[in-house]
Amino acid sequence: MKKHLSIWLLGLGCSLAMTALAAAPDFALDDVEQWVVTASRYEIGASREAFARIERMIRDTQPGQPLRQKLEQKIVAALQSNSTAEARRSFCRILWIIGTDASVAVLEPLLASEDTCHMGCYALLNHPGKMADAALLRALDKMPGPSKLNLINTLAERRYEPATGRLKKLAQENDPEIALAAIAALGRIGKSTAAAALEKINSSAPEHLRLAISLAQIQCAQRLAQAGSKDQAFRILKRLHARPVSPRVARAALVTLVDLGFPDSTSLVLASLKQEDPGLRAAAIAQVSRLNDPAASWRFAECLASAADSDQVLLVEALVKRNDPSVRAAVAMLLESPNPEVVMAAMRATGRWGDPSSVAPLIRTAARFGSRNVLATLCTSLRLLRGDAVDYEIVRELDGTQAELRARLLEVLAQRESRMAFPVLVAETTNADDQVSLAAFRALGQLATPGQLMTVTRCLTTQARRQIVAEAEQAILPAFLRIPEAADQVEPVLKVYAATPKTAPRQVLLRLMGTLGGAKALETVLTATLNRDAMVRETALRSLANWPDASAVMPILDKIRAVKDPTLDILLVRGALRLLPSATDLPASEKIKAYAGLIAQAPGTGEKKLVLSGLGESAIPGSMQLVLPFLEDSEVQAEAGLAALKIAKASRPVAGDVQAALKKVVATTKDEKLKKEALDLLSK
Amino acid sequence: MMKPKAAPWTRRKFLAALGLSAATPTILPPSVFGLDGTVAPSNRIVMATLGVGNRAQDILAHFMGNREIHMRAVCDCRADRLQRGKEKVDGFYKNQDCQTHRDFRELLARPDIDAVFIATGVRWHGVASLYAAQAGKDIYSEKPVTLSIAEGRALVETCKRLGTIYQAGHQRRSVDSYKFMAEVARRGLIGKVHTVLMQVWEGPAIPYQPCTAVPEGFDYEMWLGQSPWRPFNWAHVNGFMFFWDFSDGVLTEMGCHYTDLMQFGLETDTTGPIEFEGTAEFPDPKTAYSETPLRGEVRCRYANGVTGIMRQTGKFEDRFIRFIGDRGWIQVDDQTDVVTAEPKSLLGLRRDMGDKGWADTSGHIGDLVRGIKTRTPTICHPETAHRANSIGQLMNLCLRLGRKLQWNPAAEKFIKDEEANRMLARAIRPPWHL
Repeated sequence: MKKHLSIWLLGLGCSLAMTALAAAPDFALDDVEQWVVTASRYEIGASREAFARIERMIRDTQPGQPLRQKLEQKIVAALQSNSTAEARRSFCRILWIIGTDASVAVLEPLLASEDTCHMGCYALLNHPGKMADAALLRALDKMPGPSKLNLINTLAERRYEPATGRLKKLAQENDPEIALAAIAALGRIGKSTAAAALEKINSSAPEHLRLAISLAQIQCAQRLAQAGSKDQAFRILKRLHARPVSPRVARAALVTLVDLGFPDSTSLVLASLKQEDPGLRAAAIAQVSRLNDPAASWRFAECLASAADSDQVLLVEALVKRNDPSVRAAVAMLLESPNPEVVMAAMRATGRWGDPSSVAPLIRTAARFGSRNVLATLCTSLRLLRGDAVDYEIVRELDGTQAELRARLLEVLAQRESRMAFPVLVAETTNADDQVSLAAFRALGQLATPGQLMTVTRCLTTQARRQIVAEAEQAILPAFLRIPEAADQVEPVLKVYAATPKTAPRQVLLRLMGTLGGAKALETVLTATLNRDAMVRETALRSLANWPDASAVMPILDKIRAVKDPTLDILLVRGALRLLPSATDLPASEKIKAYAGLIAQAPGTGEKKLVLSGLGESAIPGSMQLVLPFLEDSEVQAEAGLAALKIAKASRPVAGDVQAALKKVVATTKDEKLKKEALDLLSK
Repeated sequence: MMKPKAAPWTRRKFLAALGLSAATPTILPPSVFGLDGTVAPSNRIVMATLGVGNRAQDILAHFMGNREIHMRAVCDCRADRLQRGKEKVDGFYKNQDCQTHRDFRELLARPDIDAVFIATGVRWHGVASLYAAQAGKDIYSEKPVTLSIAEGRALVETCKRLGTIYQAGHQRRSVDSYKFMAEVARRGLIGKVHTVLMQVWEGPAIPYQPCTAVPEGFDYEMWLGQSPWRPFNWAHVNGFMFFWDFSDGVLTEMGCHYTDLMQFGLETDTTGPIEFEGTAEFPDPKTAYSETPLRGEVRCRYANGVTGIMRQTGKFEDRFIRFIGDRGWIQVDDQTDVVTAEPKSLLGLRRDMGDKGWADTSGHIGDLVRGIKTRTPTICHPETAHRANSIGQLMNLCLRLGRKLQWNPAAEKFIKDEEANRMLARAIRPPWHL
């Protein structure tokens, strides 16, 4: 929140600063000459201040104001003087914005030079008025080579129709670059005369220009249509579509016809489906969803059966995009296809448009293939199906299905949030197949309500196959965690535990308690640590070591002192070390006492390291005494040094034990970074 | 018209709306997204990379990691980069097969290349895209997609009439955190959105460097592309983003990502704001050589009253976008990909969504592959990309002219401002053309 506030304040500050900058003083007319003259001498590397001033003048004045007129006059004069090339370039960029007819005369000579033609064109590109067009056209006759391209492109950008005749001639020149640029320019001009010129050129054009001419004609048609001459555009495009010089032209003509709303686009697209070029067919199918023809869905649905497999996939997608469920039956026929890609497309469409009656065909189709992708598609489709009876139909189809499919269907029931499926899911937890049984547990984990959790818990305790129990425990946990009050989450487990005398089920329940936590569960687990049954005792101690919160710290410390089994002992030590830093209710003195006990009992180097790391993490002022002896123990020196540093950082002032420890760290550590930090602390 | 009251949003329903759960139909097989490794070589999309500088080096692996794509050639006007590009591709495929070109026209003339990845500087993005489309190639182009509004419109029209499949490198559209933010805004979960706040970093003031001879192996004419000829200067080459001749500064170079997300969240992909107003601080011309703004703030207003605020301030890592509604807000911090929101409960809807940040472009590339296979538009097709990019360009024109500008997004013209309209197009240096 602080970060956001500071961003806002910074923004506000910037805004105020810039408002001040914007309120610049007015310029005097005399300033104009001074800055233009200075600018005219500009070379790269010198101050750009003069141009910045001129740009400010433009920003601070409006077109037509005397200062503007004077600025243009002075720039025109500078362009006629011996201004530098860099200055001329920048002046042209300024005239691009503010130039009037007053500057055309001085720009025209720039068009006649290879070096300056581009910048002359830059200045005149969007210059209003006919003087610029005339100057560009005159220059076109004079300029050779690459600069001619410049002029052609500028006239094309300006869509200057009177240039059509000249461009037509250039399109027939031997220089292919000039010819191609002129052809493209006619397309860009995009008017009737340009269309006629392109048609004429095409009639006698050499082979290598035919494609470029066709592409220019398509652009010309596009622009004619944009200007309202749709019929003329359609004529051009239909002809190109009917007699294309390449598949690309056929594709482009078709796409443009549809885009421009050609009245019988549906027939054109249908006809394209019969072409050999797969790219054209794909492009045609992509147009199906754009056709504004109510009959189009049916006409394309009729083509489905005879289309190639790859086209069937695309056609189904296109029909789905049209969202016209009336073709559902035709699409569903494709569920019989031997091609899995086609089948998956049909399955998804059926999922979109289907109802409860679609469930059986979908499931039976998926069973026919059984592949991972098809099963995933089945799940998607079943999830999408609408209607209250869909869940019943899915449950009905469970009978006789293979394990993988059955497991996926249970998953779907959960994803559909199917409350009616609860009894079925409970029954399926005892399915002989592990995959199905686990899927049922997972589904219960997603679906079960608090009132159903005792039943779910019992399913777990009665699970005969031990190999899946651990996974099943994890699977049902989300259902417990959905109970809003954390203290209540473990209640169903405790109730079942109270009525469960057998060892194995009790072990399952104790593990669940160790995951869910809670005061009552802790009490139950502590009681179980005293159970006569060794297996129950061990499970209880392991649950205690895994306890989710710091309420178990003291009981764990008590047990560490009592437990003889070294494996359980280390688990409890780790549990204590994990929970101690978060035991905020425990007074510092008690924590220090706990660490002292842990370190005294730590049997080996590994455990000592763990305790020292825990001390560092807790960083309790006053705990340095525990670390000091280990700073000279080469086996745990690194951990001790780090712990000492963390404790020192939390301690003020740095004196006594802390100071001594830091000095020892400096003297003994090989870690330069640690040493430096210790020295820094000492120096403070 | 009042919208009917919708049912409350559950996480599942929300994810389905986002297309993140399997509940959204996707006809294409997983192999389209490069997932199962079953693509026959003959069915792969053969691609080439134009411009193998830093950006291409960053994300080439995402292209090559998609099993539907085979990267066959690279092109660069700088010999050193070309060699590094080849090494990158060959290293991935563990062979020496990647072909190199100095001139992209040679590459576009090859019939075996289906599509191109364009990762040059912005002066080339639009022009090279137009050449590629004319040559029948499909395209993934880095952003900013064009250097002028006219170039952007030409890109839209060209791709439309030629049926070119085009994906702009506004990859945040394909990243879960941003999709989530956009969906929250669209679904009215923060109420009626009234403001979109975007922040990019302060631009640098690039000092002058002496002009030098063109280094060996550096085709400088090709590098310049459409831009006006300038003597060779490393300040231009390394800092091209900060000179008007080559780029449009931070407001478009980075800002286009956020304007794109603003359009995405507001569902205004085919239109744009109608008014622009702002102020900026430009580099001190006495000491700095670069031209684009250092700091600034531009506001744009949509016809429905929504305001977009683009701030250029702070550090690189402070960038963010925030949608603000009358019942809350949602923000993505771009550096960390962390989503924050008010009310905080909105964040609960995001559980189980992916955590790939903006640096991962694989999803966006997967969408290009889908588009090419089905010949249907990508998530960031030319119209979308151009509209998003043009907002940044219009903000810059507003700053350069120093006045409030009224914009007609349908006609793509300023209202009653002929000077501003002139700046919508730039003359392109020959032999290149639109």
